[in-house]
Amino acid sequence: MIAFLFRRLLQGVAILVTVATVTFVLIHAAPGEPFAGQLDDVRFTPAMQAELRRQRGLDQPLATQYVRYMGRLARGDLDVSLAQQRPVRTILAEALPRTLLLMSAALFGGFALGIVVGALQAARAGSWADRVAGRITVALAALPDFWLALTLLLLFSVRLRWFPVSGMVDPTMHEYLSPLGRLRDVAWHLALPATTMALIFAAVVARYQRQALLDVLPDDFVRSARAKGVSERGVVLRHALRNALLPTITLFGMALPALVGGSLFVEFIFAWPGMGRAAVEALSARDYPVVLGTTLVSSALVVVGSIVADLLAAAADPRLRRG
Amino acid sequence: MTDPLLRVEHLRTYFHSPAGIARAVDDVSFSIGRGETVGVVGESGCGKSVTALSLLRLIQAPGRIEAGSHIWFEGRDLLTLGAEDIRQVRGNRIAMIFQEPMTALNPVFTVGDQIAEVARVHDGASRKAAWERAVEMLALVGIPSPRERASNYPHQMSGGMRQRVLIAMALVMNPALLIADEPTTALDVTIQAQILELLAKVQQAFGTAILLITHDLGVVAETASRVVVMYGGQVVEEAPVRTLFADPGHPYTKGLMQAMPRVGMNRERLTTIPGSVPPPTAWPTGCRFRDRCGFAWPRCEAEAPALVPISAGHAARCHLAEVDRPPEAAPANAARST
Amino acid sequence: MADTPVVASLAIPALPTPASSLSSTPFSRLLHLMWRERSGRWALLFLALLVAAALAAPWLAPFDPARPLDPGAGAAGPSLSHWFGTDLTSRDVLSRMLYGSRVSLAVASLAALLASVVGLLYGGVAGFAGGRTDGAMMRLIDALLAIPRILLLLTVLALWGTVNVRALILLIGLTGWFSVARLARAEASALREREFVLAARALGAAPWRVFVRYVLPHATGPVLVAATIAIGQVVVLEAGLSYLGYGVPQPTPTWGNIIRDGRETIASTWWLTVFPGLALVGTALAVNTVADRLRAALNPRQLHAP
Repeated sequence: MIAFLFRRLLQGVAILVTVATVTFVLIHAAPGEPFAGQLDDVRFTPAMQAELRRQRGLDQPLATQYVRYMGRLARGDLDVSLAQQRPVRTILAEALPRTLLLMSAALFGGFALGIVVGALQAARAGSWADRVAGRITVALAALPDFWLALTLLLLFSVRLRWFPVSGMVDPTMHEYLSPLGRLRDVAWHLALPATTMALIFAAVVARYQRQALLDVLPDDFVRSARAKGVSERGVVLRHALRNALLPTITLFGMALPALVGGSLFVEFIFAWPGMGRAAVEALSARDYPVVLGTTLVSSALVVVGSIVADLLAAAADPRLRRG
Repeated sequence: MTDPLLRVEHLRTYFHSPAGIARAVDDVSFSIGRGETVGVVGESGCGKSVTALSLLRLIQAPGRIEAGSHIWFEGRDLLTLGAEDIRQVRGNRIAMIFQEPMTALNPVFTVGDQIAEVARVHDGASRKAAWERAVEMLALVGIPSPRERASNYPHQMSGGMRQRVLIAMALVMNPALLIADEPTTALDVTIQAQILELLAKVQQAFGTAILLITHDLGVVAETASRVVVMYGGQVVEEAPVRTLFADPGHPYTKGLMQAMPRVGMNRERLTTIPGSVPPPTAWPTGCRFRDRCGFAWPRCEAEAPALVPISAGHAARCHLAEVDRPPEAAPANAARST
Repeated sequence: MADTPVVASLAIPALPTPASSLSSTPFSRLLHLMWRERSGRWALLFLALLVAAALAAPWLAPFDPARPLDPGAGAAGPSLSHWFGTDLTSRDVLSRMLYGSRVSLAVASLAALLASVVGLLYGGVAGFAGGRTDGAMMRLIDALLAIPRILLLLTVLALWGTVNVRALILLIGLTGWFSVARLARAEASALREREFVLAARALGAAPWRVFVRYVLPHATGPVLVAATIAIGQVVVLEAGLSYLGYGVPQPTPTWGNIIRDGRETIASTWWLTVFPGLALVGTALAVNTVADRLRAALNPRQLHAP
């Protein structure tokens, strides 16, 4: 197992290095200079511009710049935000936990709901309930996440006023609440954005899980379990589902980039102060270090997530453990 | 036979599909005595596996055991039992082992866990006690280092070992009847011998009756005391093993024996039974074997033969049997059927 | 083949059937297979109507999509004269949606086409080449797939500034070919070992020729399914980008742009969100259904179903 983990970590590092290289290429392939925004400032004389370039290492050959860039990233230095004059690292350190909170809630809810629905569908395959659930999951899985977010916002926040319209906390009240009250406040704000993502994810998981369980149910070992005298419920839940969970775990790894990307729109629409929203706001200010930083951190998130998924899969399926 | 352990009467298992009804088991009757080993022989498609599955009611939709069938076991008709009651019979009073040891075991649970499960389910044993039983059973079936092996996963074991595990799993509750559906087909010949030996040992030690399903006459010759030959979803011959080999009464049985390669044969080509098994959705009228039978005559198409007694404990479903042999007192376990 | 006169007259073996190959399935048969099920029928109808409406927009649209009809009035909800209402500068929403469908569909089709072609070639070459080339090429794909697509788009937009429609198509297409490449690579890799490919190479056919004549057509099946799904994805992606304000530049109407117009006033101008949104959802659903049916239709087992 250790060897397996080690290998995956190395692979992950290789991927991140490649991603960083891609971003470097993009920065230098873009028209104008990376700091064109600042240098355009009329107050900069040519001499000052040259000095700034030298300071930033922009007069060096590309290879040197690349090494410096990678070195900087390796140290965890993500440059400084042009708009906020703060290190990008600090900005993201604030935003990342909030994104993680949102994504965790969405993943947990989505998985739980999806596995249950998918398993129930498979257990009653062909029935009326299965067919109805099937239609619903097909529709939900195809919905654009930003549309669903807008619709839920319109319906539950604006019309029905059940949930707050935006943000993570109540801007005026939050500080004055008790710790429990603060928790509730966040949870209440989290509800709609997390539900949006969870619903779509649950639909995808349900379709996957249903098929996975249907694939397993005719297997011989299921018949053996029945022949042993295990109850039908035990057969489905203990024997079949355990095996049918394996493909769903791999789904988690594959769905990560889409989830991280999808959270961006949801954060924007619900004004959830996570990384996605930070990126969009930075974009409007052409504050590209923040956007870059978000891209890098998100990619790292995807890589870590897929390693976790692989570990989970190995934990669930003994056949994978030789790694 | 005095008070058989299991008595199957007019078993019919049909599969209903849009393409038609497949009459996989079409009026089969036989019995098994306590501690007896009965072999069921036939080609693929003759209905022997479906018969075995029907005994434990493991047939799933679109298959159905038709009304009019009876399976008498320990004083009850298994086909009338509720779900909970039949569940208590499975793995407990009647156990079954299957053909493919690799796929018959759950890949994500340890071998010990799967054996222990039987004790937990039927005996209410605690995890620890059940685990101990599992180790005991592994030792019983001849697996070396049983305590270490119990923590193995199925994919870490060889085919022969897995089959032993399946046997161990089947014997935990000391069932009265063990159904073995082609237990050696997927194994090497040397392992085959070991497994058969194990089954014989088990029978001697515990008095377990065994219903051994196979297409291999050699296996039957070695282990069974009585043989039931099936074809076309029906029993076509029934006899004590020696009688069957010495004096087969049905052309199909004769064909099977001729097809068996034997030491000392001086031939270049093996004999085969011409043709192939017809599909269970369309059994031929009259005798189901007539299209492949060297002895067929017009009566075979016009009239389906009944199971006719030939001698003590020996019956065959063939018009020729009627003609050749004098009618005698019907053996106690040959059922009349149309 | 001219230097081997003996074999020149031998026909290269025909593509074996059944196969998940586009070239062995007549288009009409495909359509028929997709038509058979109800869901496929509705989806195809919807898409056909949509395309027809998009093409006929200049004739169907009741108003000029760019013309403010009543400058002082502002947005108005659905009414008899304006089925989908008007937007903040009192332009008719229905007309804008009709014209918008042209842009949205064009962007989606072209970007999906670009992504499919690039992905097919890249993946096909990688799978066909095998060995270390394959490994290296796929490692790059692994890295590119780790970046959430929207962030990659935003990064480029941050560095390049906002883009015109043509550049947008390029951008979306060039960020979408990675998973297609994986698909194509898997197909090509499997095909490399198939007998007819080995036979062609044994007969002396140049690798590129084998690649183009045998590997590519077989890899096209799954890529076609992926391309169909991609169209749906890009429609949604473009709408999302436009919603953020970084998609098709104003004042060109697209469904996403219309929703964006109603962004600030979402509480009071619900029709600016709902109608384009429904169009989006309908299109996404229809495209996904068609892709699903297409995948089933290209499955060899169903090709010969009764």
